[in-house]
Parts: sequence; C-alpha cells; structure tokens
Amino acid sequence: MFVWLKDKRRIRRIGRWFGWLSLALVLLTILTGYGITKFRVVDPLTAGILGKAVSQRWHETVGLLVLAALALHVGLALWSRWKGAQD
Amino acid sequence: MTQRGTGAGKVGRIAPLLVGWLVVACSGAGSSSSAAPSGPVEIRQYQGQNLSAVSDILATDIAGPQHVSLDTYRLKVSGLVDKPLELTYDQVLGYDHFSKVVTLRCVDGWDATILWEGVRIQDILTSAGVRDGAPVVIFHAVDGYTSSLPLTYVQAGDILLAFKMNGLPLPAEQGFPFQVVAESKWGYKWVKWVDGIELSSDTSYRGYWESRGYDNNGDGSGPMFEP
Repeated sequence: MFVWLKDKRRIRRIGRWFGWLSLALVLLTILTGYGITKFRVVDPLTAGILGKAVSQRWHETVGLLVLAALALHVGLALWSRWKGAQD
Repeated sequence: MTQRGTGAGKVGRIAPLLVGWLVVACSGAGSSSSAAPSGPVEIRQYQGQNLSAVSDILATDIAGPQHVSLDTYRLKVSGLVDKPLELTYDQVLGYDHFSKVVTLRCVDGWDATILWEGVRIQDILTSAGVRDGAPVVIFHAVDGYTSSLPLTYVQAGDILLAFKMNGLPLPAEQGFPFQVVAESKWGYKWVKWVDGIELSSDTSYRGYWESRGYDNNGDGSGPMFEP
C-alpha cells in the first residue's frame, strides 16, 4: 500500500506539497482570524465569502489542519533523509 | 579648598531654586486637585463583586460608533401594540430604574461583567399595550442593526434597556443612549443604540447576525451557529 514511500524523490515532492499547503493554511488562519474581528474589511474584500460567521467556523478547524499538514511536511522530509542515509 | 568652596557655592545657589520649584509644584498639584471635576466615577466593585472596566468591552459594531443627538432622538415602539409610542430620552428615563450585574459574553471570545442600570423593557411594552399574537420583540438600532428576542424572555427575565454602565452614562462607543441587556444571551443579542422596539408575529424573523449564520436563540449556553 505504501510502496511509494520507498521512492525518495516522490517522498520529497509530496513533502514539499504539504509545506506549501501548510503555508496556505497559515494564511487562511490569519485571514479568518481577521474575518472575525475585522469583518467590516474582510467581508467585502472576499466578496462576502468570508463573513464573520463563516470565518469563525473555519478558524476553529483550520488550525488543526495546519498542524496536520506541518507534521506531514516535517515527517516526510525526515523520512526521505532517513531513506537517503539507508541507501 | 577652593574646589570645595565652589561646590558649596553651587549647592547654595541651586538649593533655593530647588525649594522654590518644589513649592510651585506642590501648590500647583494642590490647586489642580481642588479644581478637579467632582463628577461620577466608574464603579469597579459592587456588593463584593469585581466589575470589568467599560473600556474592556471591544467594539464589534457593524458601522462604527454612532453619535446620537438627544434633540432628535426618539425611541419608537411599534408593531403589534395598541398604542404606538415615540419616547424622548427623558421620557424613557421616567420609568422605574433597576440595576443588575450581568456578564456580557461575545462570540469573539471575550466577556465583561458590568453593573447595568436601566428601565425594564416590559414596563415600556405595558405602556404601549402588547396585542395578542406578538411573540417576537425586534430591536432596531440607529446604525441599521437589528436583533430579536422572544417576548416571554423579555417579560419573565426583567430584561433591561440600559442607560448606565458601572454608574456612568453609556459612552457613544457602547451604545448611547440605550443598550439591551440580554442576559444569558450571546453579545449579538445586546443591541446598542436602540431607537426602535417592534412587536411582531414573525417567528421566522432573523436579525443582522442571525441572518448571517449565528443562532437565532443566541443562548449563551447553547450553540453559537445555526445548525
């Protein structure tokens, strides 16, 4: 099932994707945070997509996603290094 | 010896200046304290309970602070009432006054325990005469904000329309002239700058935040969002 984990280059590539995903989620966390307190700015700025209520709902869950993506990013990077050391 | 003499001379010249400055400073402080206004100060403890500062309440309004002129201000009581009212600020203050310590809890995560003084909304509604079949009380604000509460909650809970917080008149930023003290409800039910109370039969009515995803009941112990 996890045959792809043996491919070092693929592991690195996936790890980088999770890095970019972490960055995007961090930015989303900041934006939704502002969406709660500065709704008069963020709501029109996002064409009404990030209203106060939506921002608050997303903000509560997006933090966990950041941690998960960051853990995968770091974990895969360490895994590929470990695989490299083994080869 | 010459040097010591010079040092003592300097001290001798400076000392009267220093004493003079102290006398002026002290007399200035004395006169300023005696000239200080003797107006009301903010109450920070009430019956053994610590209160939050008025400034602890963060601005969460939809259009910035409203500056209401009492010359033109009228509190309109309308909808399903026998006698629609248009009350001036002083007429509202003519109702019996009540005080309560109530904690305002905002969905943003902060809270503030304040001593509120106001009139019972129920007393105003009694003056207007609520007709049968009006289970919803809609509050309108100067800035266009609205929210609603069940009539039974307003009546049974002795809900106040506050004009003072911690012993001071409501500041413009905190809803002058009147704010609903919707105790045990989320902060978005605490309408500021109230200029209208409407009795309605529309049980599906949704206020400003309620129509944008927040729970219509707004119970502080219940869900924050609509299911």
